[in-house]
Amino acid sequence: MRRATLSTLLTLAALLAPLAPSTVEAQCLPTSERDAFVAELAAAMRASDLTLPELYDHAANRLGYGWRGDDRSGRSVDALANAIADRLRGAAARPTGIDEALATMPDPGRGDLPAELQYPFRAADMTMAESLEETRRYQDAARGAQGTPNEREASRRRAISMNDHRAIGGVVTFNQAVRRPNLDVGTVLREFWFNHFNVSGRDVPWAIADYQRAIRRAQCSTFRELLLASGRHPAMLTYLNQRRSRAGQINENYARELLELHTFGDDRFLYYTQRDIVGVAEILTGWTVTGTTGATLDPRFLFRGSLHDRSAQDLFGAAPRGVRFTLPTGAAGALEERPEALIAYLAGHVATRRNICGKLAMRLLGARPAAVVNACAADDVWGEEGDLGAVYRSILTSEEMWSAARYGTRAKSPLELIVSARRAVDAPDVGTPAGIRLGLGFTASLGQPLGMVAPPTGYHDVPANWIGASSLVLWNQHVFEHIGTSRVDMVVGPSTARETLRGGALDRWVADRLARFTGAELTAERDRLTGRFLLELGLPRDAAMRLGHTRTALARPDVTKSGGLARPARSVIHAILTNSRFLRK
Amino acid sequence: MLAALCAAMAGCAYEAASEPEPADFDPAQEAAAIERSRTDRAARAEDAVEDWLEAHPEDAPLREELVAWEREQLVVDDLSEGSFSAVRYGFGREQ
Repeated sequence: MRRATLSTLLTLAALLAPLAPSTVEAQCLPTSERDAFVAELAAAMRASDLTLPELYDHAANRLGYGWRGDDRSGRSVDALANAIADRLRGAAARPTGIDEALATMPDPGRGDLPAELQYPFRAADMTMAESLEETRRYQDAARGAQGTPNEREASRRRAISMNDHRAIGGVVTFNQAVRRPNLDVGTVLREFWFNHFNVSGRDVPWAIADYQRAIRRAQCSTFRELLLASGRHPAMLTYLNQRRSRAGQINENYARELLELHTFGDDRFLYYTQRDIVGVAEILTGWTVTGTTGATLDPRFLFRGSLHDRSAQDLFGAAPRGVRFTLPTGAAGALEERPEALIAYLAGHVATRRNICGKLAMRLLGARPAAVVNACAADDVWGEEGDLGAVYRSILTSEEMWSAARYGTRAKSPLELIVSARRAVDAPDVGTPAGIRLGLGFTASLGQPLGMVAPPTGYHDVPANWIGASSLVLWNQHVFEHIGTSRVDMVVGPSTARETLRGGALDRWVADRLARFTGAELTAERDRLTGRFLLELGLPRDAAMRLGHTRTALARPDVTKSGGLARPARSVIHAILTNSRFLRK
Repeated sequence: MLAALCAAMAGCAYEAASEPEPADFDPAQEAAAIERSRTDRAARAEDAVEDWLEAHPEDAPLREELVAWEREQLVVDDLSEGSFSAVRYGFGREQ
């Protein structure tokens, strides 16, 4: 059978892209605010003690997944501030071309399967209806095949289909992090919000990809709208069972997490009580999923008034710091407004503001300074509903964000670690099923199974959860087994005869350079070469990165062979990527 | 979108309805199995609503709506095996 090649599909996608309907998502940075934001951001950077390369490195790690490419021309504080503004402006837009390319990536090992199953990442570009249609069909075929000769094959196909859809959340996240341009604020925020409003691909395989897209679309609107986008999405309605909650038979799961995790972030019952959880669950009855049966599927949110508990509510007044919220008995024709009123109350609550501003500050600047959190939570930034664009801008323009005290102080997450290394060396296997599975396997082995975290807490953004002796061993093992020098280019030679070297040629060039020196001159040459590699990898040439085992990598006995240095370029790159400084952001 | 892209291309994999099946896989049996599953699901929805109405006879006027809702939820139930919620909350927390 002839197959469409990836490049053909990409070309076609690029041709069709201009015809696609314009996006309607809100802007994190309205045109009217751009100049003021850039000026404020540049001022905060200029007030920093960080050097220009350090500012770029800091931005690449905190507002992206590490630097990729060696373009250092035109660098300045103003250029950096403008680049961040551009990224922030498009933060809610779905990246073009990346998911489509992923969906058309065949797995050569699946030749015996039906055509659609030969593309393991096809769900990256499926609608929720298409995803539900496929998983439902294979599920039904396997359930009904019992006792027939088809049974074993039907079960196998069902398992493969289900696994592909379950994994797609992590696959998309990893692939976007690796392949997107530098300073990808949109993907960082989407990863943050998806983790905040976590659902697991294990529970909602058919909805996970669409849920991630819905989160991104809403991440530049208001927090109230983001709460609704999450809570009313079929993925969340299913994951926490809200879709089956009804008057006389409530399910508290979503109500509990809405208060404990999504809004107040309060697990000490300062702002609510157990009775309030029941009351919130009663108000939310009627939120359910429809469109999952029939010939044409269209899974979506539906408010079913017949399932709604109309009883009057008087909530939160009994908690130590609770702020009372009341609702009269529901009147016919206005029932759907009751849960929406509750969501609006929660979005404007002081505990919600502090929780969200604190978590965002931790993600973006690596700490929760009171001044930053208070400024973000204030009325002139948060507003009534949580103006998310203003919230992000408030944190990004704080002097704390660019303080030298925040630079290189926080351990990278497993995702940030493996992606930043692969971006630095432009690893050749990132665009293959094997490379993607390798990345997902690594993050999962360090406690961050992307898109598959089971609890509603998501993964805890606490380095102690993944940095330990065993994780460092795993990282070293990963670097030495999977990261080479085949894509690290270095321009060498006199200005009249420059050439670009990589792989074995680069190793020989480094060995020749070192062979010319001895003693103190050799040490100085090692330092110079290490600096060159750091430059090529887009990393700052600070002392922490140059000294220690990075510096000595070029003289380690285990790289000598027959009296000469074997693969010294590879050795120094490995030393850099396993340097404790590289593990921090 | 992928299906739309493929529809415009000769020989696209997604258009390959003629992909040969394994010798022992019978598409007619597969179609029958899918039909059996869906019939069974419809019966389960009817049973679940009958049980509910026994305890809540005041909801009898909603019978058809409840059956449709139950059928929609059963599809999702069937695709969400091993739901996390049962593990986290146990049976006591779901009322």
